[in-house]
Amino acid sequence: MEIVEMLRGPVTIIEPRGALDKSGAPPFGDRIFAVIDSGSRNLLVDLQQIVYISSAGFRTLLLAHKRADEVKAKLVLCGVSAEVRRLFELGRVLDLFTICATRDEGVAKAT
Amino acid sequence: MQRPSNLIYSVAEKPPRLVCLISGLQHVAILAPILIVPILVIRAGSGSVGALTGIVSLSLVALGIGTILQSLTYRWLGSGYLITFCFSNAYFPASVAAVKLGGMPLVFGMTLAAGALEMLLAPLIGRMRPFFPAEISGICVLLIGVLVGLLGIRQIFGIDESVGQSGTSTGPEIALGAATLAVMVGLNVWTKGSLRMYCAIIGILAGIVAGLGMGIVNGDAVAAALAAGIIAVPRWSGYLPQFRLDLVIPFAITAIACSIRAMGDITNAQRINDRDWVRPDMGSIRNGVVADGLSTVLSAMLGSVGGNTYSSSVGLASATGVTSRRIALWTGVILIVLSFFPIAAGAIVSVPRPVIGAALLFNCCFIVISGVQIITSRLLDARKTFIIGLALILSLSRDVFPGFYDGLPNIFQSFVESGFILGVSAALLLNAIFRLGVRSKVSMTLASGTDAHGAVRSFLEQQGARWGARRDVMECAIFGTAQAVESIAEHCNPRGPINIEASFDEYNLDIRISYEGDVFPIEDRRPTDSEIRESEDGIRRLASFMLHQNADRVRTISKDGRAMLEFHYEH
Repeated sequence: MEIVEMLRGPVTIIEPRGALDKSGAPPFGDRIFAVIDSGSRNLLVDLQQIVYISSAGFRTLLLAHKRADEVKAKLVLCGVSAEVRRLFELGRVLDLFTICATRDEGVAKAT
Repeated sequence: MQRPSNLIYSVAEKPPRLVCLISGLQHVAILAPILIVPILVIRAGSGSVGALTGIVSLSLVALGIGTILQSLTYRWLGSGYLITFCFSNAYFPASVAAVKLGGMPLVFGMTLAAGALEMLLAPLIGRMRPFFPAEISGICVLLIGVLVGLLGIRQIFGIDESVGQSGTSTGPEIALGAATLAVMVGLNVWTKGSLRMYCAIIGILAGIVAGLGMGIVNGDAVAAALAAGIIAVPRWSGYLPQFRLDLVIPFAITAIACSIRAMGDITNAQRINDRDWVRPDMGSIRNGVVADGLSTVLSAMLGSVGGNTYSSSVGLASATGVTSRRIALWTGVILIVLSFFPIAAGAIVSVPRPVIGAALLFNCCFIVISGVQIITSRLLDARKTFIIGLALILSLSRDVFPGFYDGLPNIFQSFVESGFILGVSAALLLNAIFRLGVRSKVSMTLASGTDAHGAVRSFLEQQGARWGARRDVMECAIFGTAQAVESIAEHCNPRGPINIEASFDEYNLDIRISYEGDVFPIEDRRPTDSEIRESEDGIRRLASFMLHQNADRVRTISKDGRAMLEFHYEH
């Protein structure tokens, strides 16, 4: 799992690449938690390079969502493909997250 | 059937009378170019002006009845869609040969036989399903659109392929065609409501008015029609049918080609009327081909030439968003009423050629895109790439190199007579050949520790392309299989490799995963968010729930220490 991280203004953008499955979910989760614990309160996760999310990946996203809530950080998603959106609906987690169509929208929402 | 949002009036809806009238007139207007077919056949047989006028009036009756028949929803008759009936260029060569050999009685007899053959072929259509996968239907629709477009180009630029490739249209004529097209396209793109609905007839009327002002409209046909009187009851010719054995093959091949074209047009009509369209409805197609054949039989009995579904009418319906079958009834009645007014036939024939060309070009765009969308709705592999590519190129080559094809031996002429026949013949032949080696059931084995998603995606994508499976269904299967394998590896103590077996036919995709180990339980209740996050089996229970939701049917089996997970997806 390759994870690219960058800053745009106050927003930390995390872009995981590959599959958020039992192998990819743990390093992705570690990175998000590290960013939140380092004090960042504006997070954008860009999923445009993600082709597959399994139950392990959704659990990581749920944990990240809960952690962000606890510290009152903003966690926004963007770049969700049609198939990945279908998986979000399948897991009944679509309404839980703020999902934007593009990275620019996501940055604006996360600010 | 789900109503697409771009339709103003869909197939089963009943538009107001004014909408029906204007839409019907619109469909009548775009039928103008095809009236030239019986005229040319009669002239080839040195028919008199009187015979010409009479035949044109009876032709309008044939068009009207044929259009109504196609819109019917009877058990064995009618596709139920708005697809007008037209005189087919496919019948032109065989009809000219017949009229020269035996006059109109021979055209009558051979066309009647061809129409009857088309009706007899219709029940076999269901069995042709393996030879007519979605991509073949898509190629048919695409080629129809391309050929309609090429005909439009010829009309605008005055290119008559029989005298070479150079155009005879003058600058003002070309400008007239371009301006007419611009009006239609502009109204369709930048307006809504009535202006969009009537964009074609507004463009045609604007073109006629401009043509009159430019002196481009030819009034000879109108004058000839007026000589027949203001009102005249169409008179049956009184011909008795004649037959010749040496004309059987060309008319039979024409009947088959018309059946295939009707299948393509009906498929297109189905697709534009159903947002959730996934495959051709063969029952509706069968009934539509019966209607098409019967319409040809009736046309012959009325003394006119053979016909076919009119692709441009489907394009027009798509462009305007008015696809109600009620329009077909109105169009048919208008045509029958017009047959009593000889001046109507004269006026229709007088529509300037560039204006007709503009209408054809306008309609072809929607047909072409529809064909592309049908083709790309399925996964494509190397086989399908070659079928589509070669069929398209061969079809286009017929118009690019007419001299070459005209010079081929007579035995090939029936198959290369038109770009459509050539392209579809090539597609059917290649599809039949490439079915070799495609198995309906395949399997793979995953060793423990393998990247489940990567291996499963590669396997199923490749196989799905071979099968020509729907993209969306294969994505469901890829997720379900990868998630299942991941869950089995984590929670079911598998001993040894995991075997995956996939089987497919056009309506069903089944995945069976088998392994030695514990059964993976499937749940239909979603764990709560906190259970997912905090419980030890949160991941497993979420996976179980998602797998249940993802497939149309899930089954778990345990036998002799071997566990199986079966997923069924409706295709």
